[in-house]
Amino acid sequence: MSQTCWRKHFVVLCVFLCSGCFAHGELHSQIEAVSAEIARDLKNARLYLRRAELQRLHGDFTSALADLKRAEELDPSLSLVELARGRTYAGFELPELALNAFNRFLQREPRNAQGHLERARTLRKLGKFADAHEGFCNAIALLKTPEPDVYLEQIQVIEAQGDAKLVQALNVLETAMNRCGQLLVLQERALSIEVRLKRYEPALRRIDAILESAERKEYWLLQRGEILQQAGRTAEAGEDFARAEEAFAALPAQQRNSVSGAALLEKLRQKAGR
Amino acid sequence: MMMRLSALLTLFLLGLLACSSGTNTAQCAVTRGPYLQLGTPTFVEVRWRTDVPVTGRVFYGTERGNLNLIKEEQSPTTEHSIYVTGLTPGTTYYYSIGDSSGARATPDDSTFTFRTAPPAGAAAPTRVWVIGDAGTGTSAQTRVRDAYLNFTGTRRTDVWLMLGDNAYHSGSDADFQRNLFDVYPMLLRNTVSWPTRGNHEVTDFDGSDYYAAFSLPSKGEAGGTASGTEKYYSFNHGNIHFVCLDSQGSDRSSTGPMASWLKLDLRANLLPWTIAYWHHPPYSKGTHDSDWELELMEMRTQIVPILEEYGVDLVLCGHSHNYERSFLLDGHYGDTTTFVPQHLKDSGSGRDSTPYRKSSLSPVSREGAVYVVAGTSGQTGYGEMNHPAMFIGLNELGSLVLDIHGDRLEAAFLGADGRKKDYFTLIKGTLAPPAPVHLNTATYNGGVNLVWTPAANTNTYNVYRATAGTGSFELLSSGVLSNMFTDASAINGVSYYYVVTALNSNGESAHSPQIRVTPPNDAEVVPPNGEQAMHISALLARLDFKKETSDSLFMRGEVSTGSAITLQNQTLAFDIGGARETFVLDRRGSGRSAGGACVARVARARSTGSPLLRFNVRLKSVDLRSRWSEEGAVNSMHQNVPLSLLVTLSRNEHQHATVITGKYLKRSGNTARFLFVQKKNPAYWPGS
Repeated sequence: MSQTCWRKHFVVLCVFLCSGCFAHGELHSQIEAVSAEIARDLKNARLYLRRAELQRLHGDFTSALADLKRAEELDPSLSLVELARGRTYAGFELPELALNAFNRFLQREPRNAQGHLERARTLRKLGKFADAHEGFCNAIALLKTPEPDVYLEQIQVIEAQGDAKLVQALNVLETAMNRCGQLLVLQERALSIEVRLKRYEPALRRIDAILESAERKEYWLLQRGEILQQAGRTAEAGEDFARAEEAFAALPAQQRNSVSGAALLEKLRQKAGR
Repeated sequence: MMMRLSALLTLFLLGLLACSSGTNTAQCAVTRGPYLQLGTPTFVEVRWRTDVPVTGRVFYGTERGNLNLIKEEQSPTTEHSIYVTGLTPGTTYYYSIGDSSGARATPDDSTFTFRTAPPAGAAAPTRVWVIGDAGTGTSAQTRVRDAYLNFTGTRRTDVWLMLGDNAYHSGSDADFQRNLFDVYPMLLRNTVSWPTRGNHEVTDFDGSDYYAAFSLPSKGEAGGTASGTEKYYSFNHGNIHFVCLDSQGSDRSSTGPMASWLKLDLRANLLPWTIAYWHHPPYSKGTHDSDWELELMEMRTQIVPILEEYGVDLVLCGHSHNYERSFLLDGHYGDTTTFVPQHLKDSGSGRDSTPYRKSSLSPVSREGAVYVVAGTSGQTGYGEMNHPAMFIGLNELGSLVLDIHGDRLEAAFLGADGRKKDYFTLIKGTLAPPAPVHLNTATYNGGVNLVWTPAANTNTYNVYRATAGTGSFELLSSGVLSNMFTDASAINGVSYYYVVTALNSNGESAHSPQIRVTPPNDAEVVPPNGEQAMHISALLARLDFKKETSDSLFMRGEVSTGSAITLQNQTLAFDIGGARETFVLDRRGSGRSAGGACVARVARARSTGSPLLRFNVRLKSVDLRSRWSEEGAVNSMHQNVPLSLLVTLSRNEHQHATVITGKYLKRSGNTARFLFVQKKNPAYWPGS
């Protein structure tokens, strides 16, 4: 590792250690409690593992690694040590070392979803987006109930590979919606990608699906009109802007007179050329 | 020790109940619960744990002694979960748990009840109990609990919020049993709890059982937009929208999944009250420091702006083992060194005759929120508690009690000794804005520019015009977002009278003082060309003015910007007849989205002798940045600057009659050009 790189890591470490002093006073008591347990049971590798995690949260890089080493010596079969080591390196901005640790962990525990997930995040940090994408795929396949956050993380690494991969992002979102349900946060993301790809018909279908269940339709009608405008269908766009105004007019007066309501109305008026 | 005894006693009593209650005897012992989850107007989830697998059953009804309705599980289990559906909103139900044999494990008495949430949007009186960092299993925890139980008496708790660190040390199943389920059995069986995750419920190698212990609305079951995760979620109770965020393990960035969901959720919300809660406080100088710690900083810089943009009223957090309560606050996203009085929407106590007020009952952006750190429900800590955003900081055990009814929220910090240690009131939607003041004009060929001082609690403005001073005013434009307006329909040579009113959801203010304007016949000033000014590092406005006498002359300068501009620490230099005077702008108002504006004034200057009066007006290092909200996104950029300069000249220090206005026209390099127009008032003009 270059001198500059070490210097950077040293600075990061100092910041972590300093912030740790301010931040995690109560972690001391937790560490002390586990230390007391260790004093009673010196051969318990899991206790060292637990203390290493607390040391990591506390920002004590050296102590965390020392505890992990001790845990490994006491119980070489304890594969979680490598996962904890990876987390420790990742937490201290040493992604290369973290990746090595995660790789070693997954060699021993190839079906550990959390390991794949953390490895994928490390790959993303290293700018290895294609590998990160594959890592997220592995993690999602192993997760019993993957949450939308994981899919959205995967979308980020796909998008980072350029517009050529955006169709792949749409496929991931479709899978996500099949497994997590038609969540608005996923629908909206898919909609934005369709528009970015200038795929206006699919975009309109998506926004129509959102409109079916939306309680506040005016924002979505406005967006629908804007998509139609981009597609060159100005007359239909005008109809949507008018529908958006109608939906807006149906809101309670307090909502209409709010700042955001007035801003929306202003935008609708602009769109309508008034 | 006390806790252990309490736990043993609870188990013993439950064992007795298991043996003796109901018409049959249950073939199992209840080892956890019953406790309520996912309460909505029409259903609630009843959960409990038994020592051996049985097919669970809930008996329920609206009359004590007549539990004639039954819901039953499909198969035997020890972890019981039954959705009691088809309920009537706002109704109290009695219930008992048991098994499919008909045996009951709890008695049919008044201690086992639940009340369904009121109909969506109904302004029902609601009591909320808020505990933070409670799960220590110590006598401190039970003292706080008992103080609340004594305080609330027979008044039902409608909503129970847990601000994280609900079961020390690691949120394991045993921790939850010992430090939560065994501590609050009476409350858990009658009140739906809505927890957030703390740093002691971190998933580690031993596993946290936080998500196993609770059922949280990932699918929008209880109102709000489905998040797809139990980590963060929202729910509605009557006219209150609750938002639970995860500051511990989720992406806290403003573009991350949680923030994306948050924007969609808040945009869809129409309920009057918005209360958000999570574990790590955005403002704290207690056992944790929001200036240094990553989670706290990120929640403040990334998430709080979104909440404020959508009109959050109250933010509740724990983590610091102190009680800290803010003023009515808005727009403070930096560390404490960046805190300025402009961040205070109300710098009072919020108590008694000076409650905090927000103009609208509906969620309206940027009217202020109160931030509370309530992390002393199980322990206290150290800390200076000197955050400038905070009205009060206490190092005392306690919990927060909220009573919300209609447009009024009453909050009290209840100490472990049963005394109120702090309290405040927040009232929404009862204030019409005051009339705008300082209406000024500039004219140009075929148009009139109006600018006025922004009015407080204002969402929009209406501009009215008349052609006679005593005539009736006609509405010229409504929904004006900033404190500037251009009347392009004015005819040269015709005199007009203008007034402006301010509006919010409660109504319209009185008229501002009227002003008379006559657009000149000749084209003295060219209208602004609308050129985009992306960045201006220095502004220069220059005006040469030839005095006709050597009389003393007083002048007052004022620089105004349109909406959403932040002016800070600029100097305005008046170079008068070669004698240069520099003034630091007195920033009034703050850069805020739509409606805010900055009016910077300089002190009066005096010029004597010289026949030539030269104004060189410089704005140094102006970084004209704007924040605005569009479709929920909070953005920051440089933008076009409708900057105007107004100089008032007079012979009398107290009478300012001659007005020269400058309008920003274009930028060339680092210089911004102004054009000026002079409006003479013969009564005061020197030499006239």
